[in-house]
Amino acid sequence: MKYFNSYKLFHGINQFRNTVILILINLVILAGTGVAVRVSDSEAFCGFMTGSMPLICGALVAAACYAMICNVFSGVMRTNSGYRFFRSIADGAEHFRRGIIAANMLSLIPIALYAAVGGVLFQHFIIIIMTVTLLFMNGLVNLTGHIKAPWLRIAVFAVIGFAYGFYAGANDSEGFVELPFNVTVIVCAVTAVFYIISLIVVAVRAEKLWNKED
Amino acid sequence: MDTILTSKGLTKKYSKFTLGALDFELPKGFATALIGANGAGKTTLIDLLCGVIHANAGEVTYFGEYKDIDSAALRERIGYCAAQGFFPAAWKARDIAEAMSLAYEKFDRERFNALCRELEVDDEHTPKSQPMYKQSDGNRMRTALAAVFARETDLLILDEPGSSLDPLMRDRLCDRMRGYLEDGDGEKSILFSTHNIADMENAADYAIFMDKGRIIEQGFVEDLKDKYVIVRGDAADYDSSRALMLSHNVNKTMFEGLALAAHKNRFEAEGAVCERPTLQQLSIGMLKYAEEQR
Amino acid sequence: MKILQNSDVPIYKQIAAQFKDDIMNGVIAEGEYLPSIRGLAKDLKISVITTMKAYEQLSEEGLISPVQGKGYIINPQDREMVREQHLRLLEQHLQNAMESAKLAGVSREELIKMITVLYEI
Repeated sequence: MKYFNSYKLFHGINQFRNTVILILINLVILAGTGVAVRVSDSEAFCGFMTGSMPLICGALVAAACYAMICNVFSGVMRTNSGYRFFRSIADGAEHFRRGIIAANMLSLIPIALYAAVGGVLFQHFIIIIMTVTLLFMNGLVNLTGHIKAPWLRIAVFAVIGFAYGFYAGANDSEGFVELPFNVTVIVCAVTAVFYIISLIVVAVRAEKLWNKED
Repeated sequence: MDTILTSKGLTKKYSKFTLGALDFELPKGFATALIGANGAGKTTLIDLLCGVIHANAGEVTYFGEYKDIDSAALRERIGYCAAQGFFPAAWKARDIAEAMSLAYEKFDRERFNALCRELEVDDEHTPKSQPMYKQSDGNRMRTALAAVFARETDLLILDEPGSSLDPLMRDRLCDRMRGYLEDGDGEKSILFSTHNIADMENAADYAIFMDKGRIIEQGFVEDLKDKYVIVRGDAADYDSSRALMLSHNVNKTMFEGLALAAHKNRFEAEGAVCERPTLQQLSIGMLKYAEEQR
Repeated sequence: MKILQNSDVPIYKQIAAQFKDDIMNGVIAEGEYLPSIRGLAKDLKISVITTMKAYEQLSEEGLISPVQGKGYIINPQDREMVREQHLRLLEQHLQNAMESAKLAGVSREELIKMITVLYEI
C-alpha cells in the first residue's frame, strides 16, 4: 500500500483513473473481437481481425504502461511542471523508488490480462510476441526514463518493435522458413531476464537518479 | 533579533551564473520580502532554501536547530510554493488534494477546498474541474497558494506569489499573510520574493535586496526608510548634489535619486528636498545603484 | 484609528500619536492591553514592523510596557505629568495666538475679551 501511495503521488489520482479506464476499454475491445473471431466462419474476417486487433490493442497497452512508468520519472525531469513540487516534499528519493517499483508491478497487470485474453481467444503467435515486446519496452523505459530526450527512446522502441514484428511475421508467413520453437523460447526468456534486470537496476539507482542535479 | 533562518556562505555555481556567497538572516515572526530584478537569483535562492536544489557550499540553519534541508521533519514545517508550474500540468484540483495528502502529514483537505472556493478556483468537488494546463496563470497560482495555506507550517516560502495575481487578489494575499503571522503570534514567519514590491509593500517587515547573485542591502523596512532618503531638486542644482547620491535620474527639468539620510542637511542646504522613501522607491533606487556599480 | 498612508508623517508615528492621545485622555485606561502588534497590523493592513515600532516608541516614552506573553500594557499615567504636558501645549498655543494678534493688530485688551467670549462657549 505504501508503494501504491508513492506511485499515486506521481501519477495523480485522476490520471491514474483515466489510464485504468483506458486499459479496461482496450481489454473489452480485444475480448470482443476475439470472441467474434472464434465465432465467425469467414476466413477473411478472421484473418484481418487476427492480423490487426492484437497489434492495435497491444499498442494501447504499451501506451498505458509507458504512461504509468514515465509519470513517476516526471519527478526527476526538470523540464516538466511539477518538478518543484516533487523536489520539495520529504523523502522524495524514497517515494521515487517505491513509485517506480509500484508502476512496474501495476503495468504487469494489463500485460498479463492482454496475454491471457488475447491468448485464449486469438490463439495466435502474435500475442506471444506482442507480450514480450511490451515487457521489453517496460524494461527500456526503466533504464532510460530519466534521459531528457524521449526521441532516443522512441527510436529504440521503433527499431526493436520492428525486430519483434519481423520475427512474428517470419514465423507466420509462408514464404519464410518456420523458425524452430526453441528460438521463440530463447527470445521470451532473454526479454524476461532483460526486464528483471532493468527493474533491479532502476530500483537500485533510484536514489542516485533522484539526487543527481544538473 | 530572533531569527528563523540563518545563512552563512551559501553558494551555488552554474556555468554562467554564481549565487553567493550569501550571508543573511530572516527575522522570526515577520514577513521578509526578497526583492530583485529578473535574473538576480531570487528563485535560485528559494530553491536552495527549500531543497529543490542543493548548494555547493555554505550552511543554512532553520529554526535554530535544523541544518539539513533533506530532513523530513524540517520539510514538513516549511510551506513552499513555486513561482509557476508548481504542480504537473495535467493535474486537476483533486489530483493536487490527493498528492498533498500523501506527501504531507498536516494537510487539511477540507481547508484546501474551502480556500479554493474563497479564491474562486476549482476545488476537488467542482464538476468538470479543469486541469492546470487549461487554467490561467492566476488561477494556477491561486490553487497552489490554496494548497500551501491548507498545510500546518511554521515558515512560508513563496516564490513570486503576487506576480500572476491581479491587484485585488494581491491585496487578499497580503491579508492572508498577515493573518498567518497573527496566528503564529511571533512563531511563524514568511519569506516571499517579488520583482515588483509596489502592491505588497504593506506586508513586508524586512527586506533583502538582491542583484546578480549577491545581496546588496538588507534590514527592517522601517530602519531602511530611516537610513535612506529620496532627494529631489531642480536640474540646475544637480551637480552640487550628485556626488552624494546613490542612484541618479536626471533630465532637463529635475533630478531625483536615492541617498543616505545622513546627508539630508547637505541636500537641503543646496536647495533640494528630501523625502522618506516608500519600499518601492527604495527598491528602484537600490537596484539602479547596483546596476550603475556593475 | 485613522492613518494616512501617503502622509509625510511616517505611519508608525501616526499610530503612536493617536494611541498617545487616547491614553492621555483616558480613552484607554491604565492596566488595559493594546491590541497585539500582528492583530493591529492585520486590521490596519500594514506591516507588523510598523506597529511594533509604534509600540516601541510609546514604550520609550513611558506610556506602555511590554508584558511577556501578553502584549503591551498601559502604564499608570502620572496625573501631574499629564497636566504639565497639557500646560506646556496651552502655553505654546497662547504664544501662537499672541503672535497672530500682533500681526492682526489686536491689542492686549481685545485679545483678553476674545478669550473670555470663547471660554463662555
